[in-house]
Amino acid sequence: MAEKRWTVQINRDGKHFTLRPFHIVIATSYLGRPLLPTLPERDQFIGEVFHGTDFKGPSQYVGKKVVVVGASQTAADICQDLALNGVGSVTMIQRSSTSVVTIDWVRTLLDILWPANKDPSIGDFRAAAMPLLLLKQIHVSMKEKRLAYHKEVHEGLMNAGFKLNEDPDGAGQGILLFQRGGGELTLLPHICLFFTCF
Amino acid sequence: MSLSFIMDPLISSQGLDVGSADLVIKGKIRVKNGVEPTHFTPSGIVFNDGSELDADAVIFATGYAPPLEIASDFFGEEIGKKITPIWGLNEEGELKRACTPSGHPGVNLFMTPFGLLFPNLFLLDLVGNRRFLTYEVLFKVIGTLLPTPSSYQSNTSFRVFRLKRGNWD
Repeated sequence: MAEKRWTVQINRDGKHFTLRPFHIVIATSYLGRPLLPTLPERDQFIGEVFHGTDFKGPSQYVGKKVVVVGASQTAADICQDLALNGVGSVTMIQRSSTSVVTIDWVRTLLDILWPANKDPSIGDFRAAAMPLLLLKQIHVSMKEKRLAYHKEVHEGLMNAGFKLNEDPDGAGQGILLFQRGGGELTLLPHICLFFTCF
Repeated sequence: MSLSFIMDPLISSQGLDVGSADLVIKGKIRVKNGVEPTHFTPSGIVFNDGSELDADAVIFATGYAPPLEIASDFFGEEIGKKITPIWGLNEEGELKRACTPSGHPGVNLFMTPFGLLFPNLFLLDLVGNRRFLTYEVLFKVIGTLLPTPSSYQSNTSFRVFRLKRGNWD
């Protein structure tokens, strides 16, 4: 019976050699390659076009106009970085809708699991042992409370033309993270000042 | 999720911290909703409602391909298509395929996003990670059947709990 081994050809700086392992572990992160849509007439456009992964900071766009396509965490972070650092015009293109919570809300939930004065390993265990469907039900049951907490920030965003959702099934960002690995937008808290101690 | 805390020096001097929602609400970040970009012009980008925006740069924050694309690159289509999708919730409501069999013998997939939060990934520390992975490989090598995802989960919960007390095995 043939031995069940892989044959792996390695090219390390032009040196070729062969490995014969029993197992191969793919540990290349949970993100695949960046998705950069190819749009017609890209060559005509004299400006820059790149994926958020290649964003190197706002300094070279000071006083310029930047369009960011997308409306989740990466888009929010890049737009914020641009808007706070003198970029003349920042426009976020939101194609559908986004689930939005403030960072204070997330912090409140995390503080329940990992209280400041308790051994973090207990929180680790509790979080890790929680079945995700049950977690989803908990998030669904918190929907009214979550919406009330975010009333002002959500209304402000809607008035600015930003579209919101509480997908999936009213569970919101906390579950979207697991279900899609994205779509969440965790925002920083200025607008929720009265919930914080600043 | 981003738990970083960005302070605008100017505004923070007034004791306020600033978030992207606030910038959207104040109009510092403009939002254009419900459109898809269709093509470029020399000076900007055009959308499917016919509108156009001038731009010096267009940044696509449009996400990433599924992580397992790389499996087909490495192993070819035939094996690549056997390796079941990772991420998202399965019929048991657990994360698909994190630290469970890959769908093809001899291929182990290991991913650690937000590691602490996951039942299936189960990574309490680096030592724990490596040991967990090593044990999964060992199970396969000695031919032990892997349990179903849910029992696997409770087993690993228990294991990690013990591991934290230095009592692995």
